[in-house]
Amino acid sequence: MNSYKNKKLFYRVLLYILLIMVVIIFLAPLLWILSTSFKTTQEIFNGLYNWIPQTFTLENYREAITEYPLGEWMRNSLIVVGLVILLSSVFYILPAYALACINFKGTGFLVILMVATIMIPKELSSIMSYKIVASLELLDTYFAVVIPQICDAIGVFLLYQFFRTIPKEYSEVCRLDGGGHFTILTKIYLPLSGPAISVMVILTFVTSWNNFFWPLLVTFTNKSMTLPVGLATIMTSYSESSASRQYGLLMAISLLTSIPALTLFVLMQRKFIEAITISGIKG
Amino acid sequence: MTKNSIWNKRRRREIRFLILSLTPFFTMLFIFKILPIFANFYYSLRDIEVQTSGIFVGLKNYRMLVNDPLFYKVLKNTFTYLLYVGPVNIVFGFLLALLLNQKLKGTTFSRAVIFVPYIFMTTLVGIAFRWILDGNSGLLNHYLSYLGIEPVYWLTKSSTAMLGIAIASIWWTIGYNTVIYLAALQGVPREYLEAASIDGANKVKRLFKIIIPCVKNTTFFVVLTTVIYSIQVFGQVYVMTSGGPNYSTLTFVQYLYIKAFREFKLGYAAAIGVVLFLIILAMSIAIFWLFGDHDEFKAKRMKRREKFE
Repeated sequence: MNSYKNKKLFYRVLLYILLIMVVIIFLAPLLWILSTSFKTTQEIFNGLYNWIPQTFTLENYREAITEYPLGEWMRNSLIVVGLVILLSSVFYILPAYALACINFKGTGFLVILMVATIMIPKELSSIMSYKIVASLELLDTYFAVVIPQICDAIGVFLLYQFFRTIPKEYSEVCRLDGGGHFTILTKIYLPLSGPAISVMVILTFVTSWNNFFWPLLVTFTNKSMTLPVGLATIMTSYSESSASRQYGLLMAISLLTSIPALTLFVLMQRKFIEAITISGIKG
Repeated sequence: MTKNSIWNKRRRREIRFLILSLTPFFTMLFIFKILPIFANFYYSLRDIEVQTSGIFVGLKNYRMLVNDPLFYKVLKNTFTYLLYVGPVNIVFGFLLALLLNQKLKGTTFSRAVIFVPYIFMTTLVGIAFRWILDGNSGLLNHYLSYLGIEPVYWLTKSSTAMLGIAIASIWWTIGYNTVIYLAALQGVPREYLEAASIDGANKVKRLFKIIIPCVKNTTFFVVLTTVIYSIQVFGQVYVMTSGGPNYSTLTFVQYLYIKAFREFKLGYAAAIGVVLFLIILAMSIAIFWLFGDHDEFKAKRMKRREKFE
């Protein structure tokens, strides 16, 4: 019995060592970014690889804010993401309700069509989308960045699946009282769908906030350039050698621009992970 | 008013609501998702510019593609990336989920730590890993030197550049798979595991006979998304190496981007897009087949066997 206990203890210790190693490996890059951002250029290249800065400096942060239009890019990103979330709420909730709750020929076809598009990479649509936006002379506007982002079928599909779980009896009662579909949707379905809608909003936020390929194509100036594109222009503007002298600054910029997403994640960690999980399981 | 006309009025209202609610989304879906795929086929047969629809050139773009040595490099690079990232993200994503599913203290915190890279922007991951993988003063080389490994010039040598990008990508995305697997593991019925342990099945046996079959649907999803997303890799490459050195990290989407939006050879880029679409379609079908049919096939075989016995 004793040896069994010992074996069990050994096993647990092993698991804890593994867990700690994993956490260290995943945290190390983040802590290294943090540490680098507070170091002077001289210290960054002193070859000591110390994790805690010897001379703690805020110079990188000062330079990041004064030398680069981070504020403008951040504003553009927030406006774009805000618009995408706002528009997609309307664009996704209505069709999801219609597909889930109204009987008509073609529901099955539309759902399959929608799901089939989920797996199509958005890069493949870029050529025609670009031609459309260019011919409407909308390049380098918020409109151009936002519009192709509000046809993400996964949001509709998630809501559709959730709406189907709401018992039909609820809407029957409302119908008998003479309520139309719009009333049923706003009075019965929406109040019950808080969790599903927040999942959709988080997913939309993550996808839109990180969206890089499309904004890279259609934004050229600080007027509409979003953060990911702005950061890429900083990075590609350095040649290999000069970049090596600016790492403190680059890490400071990285951290500053992650603040919105990081804050949201820290505040709503559980919801965030739930949203991703649901998209994975249902998708 | 007769009962019938009230019903008719209702139905009319319902149809109006139906049209109003479906049209905006499906119009967008059609214009920006479905039509562009067909448009790529059309464009690929033409010499085309941004403002014009160009002239018909038949299979010229495809002939050029077949004779383009860079295209083969792109194919090789993209699949190399998939080979580096795919298995690690799937297998280790699962193993990490297994670890986090144990009754240990601190698993919630660890889960957050493993997942947090995923919320950073691709460009940031690229910038951060350019620093960590730096040949002369990068953190990774520093720790590798303790193991007696000579400094590796990760991103500036064509033999290791793709591996460097893969390292960054794995750190960035593996948490996604882990979180999804973790949810699936929590759905594995406890009774099965307990019954198996009473029957004397050891941990390895329980893993292969119960846990892995139970999360099969999740594995299907994880494999499908990992493969498709890997084939589309773009942001990391754009920021970390821009396809270099010597085109050793030029990937499919990167090549499409350069041809379409740097050189504005839209017809040629569309041909690349068509090939990419067909590859993704083929791989999706293969994965569906791999995961889907087996079950039915096995069930049929089992039934047949039952009949014989």
